[in-house]
Amino acid sequence: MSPRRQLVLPLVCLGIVHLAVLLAGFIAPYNYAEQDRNLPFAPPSRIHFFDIQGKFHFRPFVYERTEEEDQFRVYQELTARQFPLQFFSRGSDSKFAGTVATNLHLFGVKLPARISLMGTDSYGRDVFSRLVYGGRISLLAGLLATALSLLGGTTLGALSGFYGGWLDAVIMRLAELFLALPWLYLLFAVRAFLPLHITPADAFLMIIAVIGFVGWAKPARLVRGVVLSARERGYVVAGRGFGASDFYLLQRHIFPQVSSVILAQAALLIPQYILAEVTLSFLGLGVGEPVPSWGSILGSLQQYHVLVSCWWMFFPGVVLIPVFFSYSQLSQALQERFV
Amino acid sequence: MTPELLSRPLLVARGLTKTYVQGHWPRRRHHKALDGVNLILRSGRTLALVGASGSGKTTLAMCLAALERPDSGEIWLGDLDLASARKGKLLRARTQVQILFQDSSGTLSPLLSAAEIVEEPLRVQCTVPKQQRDHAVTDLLRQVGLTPELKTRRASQLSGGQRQRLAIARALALNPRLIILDEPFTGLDLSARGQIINLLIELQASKALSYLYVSHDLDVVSHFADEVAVMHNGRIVEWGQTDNVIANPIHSSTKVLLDASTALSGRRPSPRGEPACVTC
Amino acid sequence: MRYLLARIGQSLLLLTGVSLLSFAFLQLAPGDFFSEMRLSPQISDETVQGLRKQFALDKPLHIRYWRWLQSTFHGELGFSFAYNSPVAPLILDRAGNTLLLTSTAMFFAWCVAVPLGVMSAAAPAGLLARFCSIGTAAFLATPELLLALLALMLAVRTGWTRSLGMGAAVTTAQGWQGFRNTTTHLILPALVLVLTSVPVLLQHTASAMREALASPYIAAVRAHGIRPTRILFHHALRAALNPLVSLLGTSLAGLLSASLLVEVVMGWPGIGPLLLEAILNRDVYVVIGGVMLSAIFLASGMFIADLLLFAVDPRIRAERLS
Repeated sequence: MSPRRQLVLPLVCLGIVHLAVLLAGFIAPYNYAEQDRNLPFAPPSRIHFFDIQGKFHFRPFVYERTEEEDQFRVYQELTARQFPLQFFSRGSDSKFAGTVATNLHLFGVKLPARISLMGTDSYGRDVFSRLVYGGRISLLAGLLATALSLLGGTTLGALSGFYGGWLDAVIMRLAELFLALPWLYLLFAVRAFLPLHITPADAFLMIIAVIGFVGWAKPARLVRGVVLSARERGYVVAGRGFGASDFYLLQRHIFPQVSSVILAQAALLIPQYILAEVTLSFLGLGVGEPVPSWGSILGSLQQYHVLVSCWWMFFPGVVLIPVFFSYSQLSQALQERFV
Repeated sequence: MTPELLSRPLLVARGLTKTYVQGHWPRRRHHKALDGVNLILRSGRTLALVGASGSGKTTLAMCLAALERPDSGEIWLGDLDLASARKGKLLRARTQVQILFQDSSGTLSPLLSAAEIVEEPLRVQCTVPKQQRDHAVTDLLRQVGLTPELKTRRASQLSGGQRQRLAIARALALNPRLIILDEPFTGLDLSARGQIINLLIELQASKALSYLYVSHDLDVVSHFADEVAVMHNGRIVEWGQTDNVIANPIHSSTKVLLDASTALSGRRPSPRGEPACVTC
Repeated sequence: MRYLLARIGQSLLLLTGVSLLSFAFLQLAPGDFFSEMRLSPQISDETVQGLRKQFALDKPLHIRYWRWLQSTFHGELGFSFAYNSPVAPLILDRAGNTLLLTSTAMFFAWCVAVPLGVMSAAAPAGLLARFCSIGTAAFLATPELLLALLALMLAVRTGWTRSLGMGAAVTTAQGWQGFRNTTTHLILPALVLVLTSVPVLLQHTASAMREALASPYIAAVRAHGIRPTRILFHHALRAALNPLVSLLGTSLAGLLSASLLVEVVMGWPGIGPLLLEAILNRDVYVVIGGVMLSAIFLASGMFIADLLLFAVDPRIRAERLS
């Protein structure tokens, strides 16, 4: 596969996922907090093309579901009335890409039927909708935390590599310390030692800060190495010869070399940080209710009965696979290009 | 009056020492690169600094170019002591002293075009206003014999001789009075070397430049330099007019260097009475 | 010898730094073990304060640190509020369980990954190499969390319910019964750990071997006409040993911390669930004890790797001794 193609395919895949998540309000048929207490833990809706008389319908449809008599969480379809699947339907209020208020959705069905492509959770909330909305939290947390980590790590690594001396020694010792502590434990500890009962918005920012803060050491070491070798290059020394300031040299001559390392690091860190957010949410240390995250949806699997009978709760975990795969392909392609 | 009295001292160095420390405790190694060096450079003259590898030549060159600080001693450029000056004053001093490094290709950034490379000192020091910079760059390139169409080429697209000319153009950008050349002819073939030497001689005549030419090759020195200083183990062991030193070497290391050079051993005059190394 | 002492000194410094950092952390943390108690209306403020005093939680940081150091030298490592016992026996017991799991998994992972890596490097275009690279990519993209949950679900669905390790995982039953009991509980978590670690090991082994095989040294050996298997395992593997030993060091360093998630999800009574619980409960001395233990493992792992490198690679021997 040509190197260009290697970069393009994962980028396209990631672009699609991120676009879908951005347009969550449009793509998800329901709001993430919309409950239906009549349908807890319902399996995914069955989409029919043939009705009970065997007639083929061009437009697929669903039936309304209710709980079976005396049977807990077993559902039957009421075949009396068909609810055709409508595209670009009007449904509950949402915000298009988080800005413009609208109630237009990609697809949906008329009430009282509900279409749950990935089943429902304990409150009867549509898992597919929560998945799409939840992607915002998980993916965005990964991106922002990576940005934070790289910002901090690059600055410290550049200062360390360029100036050397005691600054370098102090920063590197500190980095060793941070690398010595087990990453996951550090994450939990830092998160858990901060207040547990806060609003989802604050929790989100805090999680990003925590994940980003914990991971500065590795990028710092890498950047330091690059800066150290770049500093000794002939044109940097020559630059000093005609009086260029340190800042100028860093910005004009050293940074272009560092940027390729940073990019390669980003492709490695983002999936790690997404996983960190998912793990935190899984254990209940993430963004609180009712805001969904892929980890919190998976978290319900910690209950025995959910694990055993609600297989649709695995979807957020499954969605992670193509995302991680794309990132790993991306990082491989970047490594080959720059390293 | 003799030429020496007419040309005044441009740069005076006194008592320079520098020691490098390698390794960690407890196995530290001290290497004395400069061990009490005194030097005088005069306007419009070329002083050659010769010696074997490791004699301290490059260290001395870097100190004189204010890129390294000696451990002790003074370097007087006019009324400024480069060895102890603060950063702001050093900045102004840099317009007077420029250095050409040994590996010129390494000193040219691979990311910039030729014009940008030459323009950089102008941009950093702001000596020329923006509108006139392009004109200044073209002029500089012309002075070193590079045509304007090479302005957009990158360093990797130029020949060895062209790269050296580009480095010289950059060194001239700030109108220095002294250019330090640290073995600038390594890697050039003989014809390119000859052309560069002639260029340097022309520039010296037209701009009243001084050169400090650091080398271990006495062949070129004999053609190019007015005075020679010989370094050995961080000290200057011999100093005088080029012809004198070559004809009557005193120190053993001078003799060793002379023996190593092909045309000068035996002091045989080559045909046509010129040193055989240069072809113009 | 001097080098050894220097390294040990460095490690001790690191450990001190770790303990100081952890303790400093506490200062920032709002609340302590007894804060949750305060929320309950049945327990009066005085009781809480009294408890605090009893456990010296109201003393300033440096006094607490000093007390903790003393306790450590007595072999106690502080006191757990939740379990009402000194920290050391608690942690060491759980750590033993964790090590059982991780060392088993690590052993099998290396046994699988290294030969596969060597063989796929030897025949880069072959079926095995292709299969390995696809498998590696697939498993690398699958998060450990998902694998653990899937394994759990499959085990329950297929009726292998004993793998749920409900506290009976490592029993005090002796002899054959005890061994069988432990093993059946061990298999699933170990399998998940193996599946997550093999891809990384395989990649590293394969790339190290490829580099070794491409070197001119191997080409010369081949020209001598030595058998390919001997070249592969005797010559090339020795050249590739350097990065592999570093990898071993990293694996050893992570022996205690690598299985946190798997233990929590699959109910293995190791140090992971203990620490998580302690973190959530603010049982500070347990947390610090656990962190210190991890740090010790990390330092030792790196140290052992260094020693092995010294023993194995004559170049490093020469450099260090000069």
